[in-house]
Amino acid sequence: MSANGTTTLLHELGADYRDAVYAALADLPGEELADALEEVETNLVEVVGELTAAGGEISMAALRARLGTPREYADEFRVAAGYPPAVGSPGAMQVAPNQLAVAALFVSAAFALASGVTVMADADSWVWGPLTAAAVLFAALPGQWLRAQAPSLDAVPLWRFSLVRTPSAGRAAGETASPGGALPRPSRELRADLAEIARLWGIFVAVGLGVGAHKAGAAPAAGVVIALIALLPCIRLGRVLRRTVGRDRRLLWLAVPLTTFTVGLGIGLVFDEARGRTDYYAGAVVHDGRVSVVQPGSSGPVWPAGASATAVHNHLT
Amino acid sequence: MDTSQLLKGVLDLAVLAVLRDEDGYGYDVVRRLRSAGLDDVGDASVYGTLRRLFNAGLLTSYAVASDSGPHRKYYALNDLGRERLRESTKTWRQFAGTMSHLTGETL
Repeated sequence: MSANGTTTLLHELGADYRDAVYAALADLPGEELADALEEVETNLVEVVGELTAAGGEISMAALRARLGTPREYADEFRVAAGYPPAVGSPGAMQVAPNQLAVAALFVSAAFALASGVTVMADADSWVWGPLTAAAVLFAALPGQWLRAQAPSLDAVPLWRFSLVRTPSAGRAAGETASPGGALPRPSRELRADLAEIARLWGIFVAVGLGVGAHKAGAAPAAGVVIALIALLPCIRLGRVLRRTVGRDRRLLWLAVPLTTFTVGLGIGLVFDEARGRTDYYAGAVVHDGRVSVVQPGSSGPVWPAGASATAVHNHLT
Repeated sequence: MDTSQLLKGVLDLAVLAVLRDEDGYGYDVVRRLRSAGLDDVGDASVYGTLRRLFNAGLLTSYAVASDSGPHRKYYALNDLGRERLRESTKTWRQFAGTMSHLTGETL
C-alpha cells in the first residue's frame, strides 16, 4: 500500500525511498502532493524495473546512486516543479501551518480547561460561555488545513510527529531530515498504561456528567443514575479515542480539549466543594453592625451585632 | 563545463520538444532526452518540469494502464504548449546563434 492509500507493485525499497521523498515534500498542498507522489512512484517503478532488467541488485544504495538521496530528489523535483522552498530552508516561512495548528491546539486546551473549571465552580457565571466558545474556535480553526491533508496523512508532519502513524512513515523518518518524522511505536508497558488511562478517562467523564447534571439541578440520585448510564459508553469512547488518535492525530483537536475540559470540571468540583463547606460552617456574616444568618436556599433573619451563638444556633436548628 | 547548469535554462524547451511528435510518460521523456544526448538530465528534474508545464496549462495528460506497475500518466502538447514551443525554439536559435558567433570570434 502506498503512502496515499493506493495499491502498487513498487519494490519495498522503492517504497521506502518514495516515502522519504514524500516526507520531504510533505509541506505541499494535499492535492499537489498526491500528484507529485504519483509521479515519484511511477519513476521509482521504472527505475527499479530497469535495475532488475539489468541484473543489478535492488538496494537503497543503488537507488541513491541512480537518483540521488531522497532529499536531493525531493529538492530537485521541488525546484523543477516550481514549488515553494521547503519549510525550514532559507527563504521559506519560518512558521509552518502544522506548527500554527499545534499552537491552536494548546490554546484550545487551555480555554477548555478554564471553561471546565468555571462551569463547575461557578455555574451562574457568564464567563464559561465565551471560554467554551474560544475553546471550540481554536480547535476548529486548523480544521481546513487538517482536512486538506487527507490525501497524504502519513507523511504530514505534526510538530515533531506525523499526523498518522504507519510503518512506512516510520521508515521514512529515518531517511530524511524533514521537519516531519514518525511517532515511534510505544512500548508494551506504555500501551498498557495508555489503555488504563483511557479507561480512567472514561470513568472520570461519566462521573463528571453525573455531577454536572446534579449541578444543573438534577437530584443527587438522578446524577448517580446518569453517571452509571454514561459509564460504559464513556469508557468505550475513551478506548476508541485512544486507538483512533494513535492512527489519525487530527482527532487530537477533539480529544485534547475534551480531556482538559473534563479535568477542568474536576478542578472546579474541588473548588466548589471547598467553598461549599466554608459557607456552611460560617453560617453568619457581619454587615453594618448586624449578624446576618445565612441559610442555603433562604434568607435568614437579621440579628443584632453581638447576638449570642446560642440564639443563632437555636434559630438554625 | 558542467552541462547541468546549462540544462536548467533549457529543460522546458527540451521537454516540450520531445513531446512535439509523440505523447510520452515521465520516464519515457527521460529516456528520450538521454538518448538525444542530454545524459546529465535528472529524473526528478524531468518529472518536476512535467508537473510545472502541466500546471501552467501547456500540457494535457491521460492515464494508460501498465503491466509493470501503476498506470502511466502520458503527457501531450496542447495548442498553448505548441505555441510556447515555437516561441522558445525561436528564442533558443537566436541565443545559440549569438553564442556561436561569440565563441567563434573568441576562438
